[in-house]
Amino acid sequence: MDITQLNPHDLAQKLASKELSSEEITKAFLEKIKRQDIFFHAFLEVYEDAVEQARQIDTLRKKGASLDAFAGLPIAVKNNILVQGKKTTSGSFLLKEYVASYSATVIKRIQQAGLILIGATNMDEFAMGSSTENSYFGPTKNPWDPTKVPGGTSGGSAAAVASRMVPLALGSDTGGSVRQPASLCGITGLKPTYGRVSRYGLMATASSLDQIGTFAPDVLSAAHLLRLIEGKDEKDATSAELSETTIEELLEPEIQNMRIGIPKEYFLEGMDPEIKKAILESVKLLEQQGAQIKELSLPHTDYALAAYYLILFSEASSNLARFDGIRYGFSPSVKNIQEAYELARGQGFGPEVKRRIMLGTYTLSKGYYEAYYKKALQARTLIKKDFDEAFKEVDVLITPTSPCVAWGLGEKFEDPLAMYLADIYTISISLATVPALSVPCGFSKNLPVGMQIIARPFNEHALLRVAAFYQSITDWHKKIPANVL
Amino acid sequence: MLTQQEVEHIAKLARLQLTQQEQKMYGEQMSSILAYVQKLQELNTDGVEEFMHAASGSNVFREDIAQRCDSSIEKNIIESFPHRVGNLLEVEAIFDQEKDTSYGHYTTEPS
Repeated sequence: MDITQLNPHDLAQKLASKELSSEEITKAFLEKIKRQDIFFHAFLEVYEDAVEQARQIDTLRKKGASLDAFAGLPIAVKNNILVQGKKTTSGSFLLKEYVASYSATVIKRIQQAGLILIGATNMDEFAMGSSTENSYFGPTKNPWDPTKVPGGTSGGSAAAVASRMVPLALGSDTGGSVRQPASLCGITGLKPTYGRVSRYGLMATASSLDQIGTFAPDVLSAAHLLRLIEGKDEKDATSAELSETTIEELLEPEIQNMRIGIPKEYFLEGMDPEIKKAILESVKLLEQQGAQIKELSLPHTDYALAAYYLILFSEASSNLARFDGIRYGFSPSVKNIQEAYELARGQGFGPEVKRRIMLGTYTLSKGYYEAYYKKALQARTLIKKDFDEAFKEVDVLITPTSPCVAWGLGEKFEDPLAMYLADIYTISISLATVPALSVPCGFSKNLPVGMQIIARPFNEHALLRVAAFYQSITDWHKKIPANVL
Repeated sequence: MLTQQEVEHIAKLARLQLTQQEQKMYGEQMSSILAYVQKLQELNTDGVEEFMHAASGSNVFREDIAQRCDSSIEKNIIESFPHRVGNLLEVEAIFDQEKDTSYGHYTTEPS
């Protein structure tokens, strides 16, 4: 039996029945990382104390402690989520040596649940990009084809789960950074409603958009992991009070009379025909099983990319102002304070980050604020209204996650705008603050295609129900890349 | 199309030291990206409220009582600061100082 090919719930079962120990499971994944990661470069660091963490959980289990189902399972964490005592680099040269002084709330929660922190994963610098090529530490390769990108910015986490180097991972999603790499890597990636999961300890990119999301080989596991991390946090004023949720009913999912909306703006002429086919066939399958399908419109879709980038640039430039060459450990030797700022930032940040800071500084500057940022905020209101209206008629929306399958490393790198267009299907969702996930639904040119399912705010339940049902009648999510040993 | 001066000005505001080559490259890239976002001007937003609250829309308050940080975290933060004298954190001077003795105080200029 190859332990690493088991999904989280199967592993959990074997832990509960004592067929396997956490130490055995952790060692199996560590072995796999050692064998595989030289090909994919998903990890920035593998934690030496992982086995010791596992032993502690095994001891607790032997003592008869009541443990979460996922206690003892290894999890990888995107390197912009603070883990106390560990290097948290955000994929950047500037934070190359930065050791986190405290842990993010989500880290404390998964540790409390007994999960094993196995390592930190690669990402686009400061969560800016769509391919993980913007990492100072070099790109991650797609396990389905190592000449291709894994997507971004949580490319490391997605590749780690896709190649089964780890059964679970956390990422962050600002405009698609969990969903899009999940799509390109053929796994399940979930972005919760804005406010569902605490952002305390997540390095801020765009504060009105960021959310921590979960990666897993299947929906039930991604859902379970979400339950462990979600909920109000005093330390994050934007986190929401949640009503009790359970996922047990997802085990016997039903689709009868579920109303599914297909927004026509996401299926325009000229879109990749194989992606269109995969999505529409999946929708048809759900219809055959009892779902009601309805075509509808999200009329402001065309303005979403412009609104998103203006908001992103503005908020990110503001958030990154804290990196001043004085705090966080990167301090080149300088003559005066001005040089401290300019040199540290000029040398410390990569080109995509600098580009976005420049743009954000410009769009927030005197004389331009109204034309750019304010206008974008107004467009955002209209975009959110589109979704509110749609959810009066349907329970969930289904769209492709990405307009294309994984592209070649270096292919879009020189053209920032081409890179930005890769996010076109995911960003409206972020602007509207609604929850969404991506599940694998087919292949095009031997590369995974992802289907995005969207629900109204705090209705992750509907989302998970449709996705779980889909995975109960298909097996795209069970496929593992041939490259993986 | 952004001018050289505009690019320099933005870089100054953003506290980014850029080479001539970078200034040129960013100038061009920014211009093309800004041209794309101009699209938003087509949208009629008369009377539309700005989207201000991604969360619940109401402010979250707590009592104005100082909450001490965990001492181990405080220790981590202080110890990771590169230039220190004991628990005092050393940084570059903020002001250039010129002592104006006739009035007995310093005149200062932000540097």
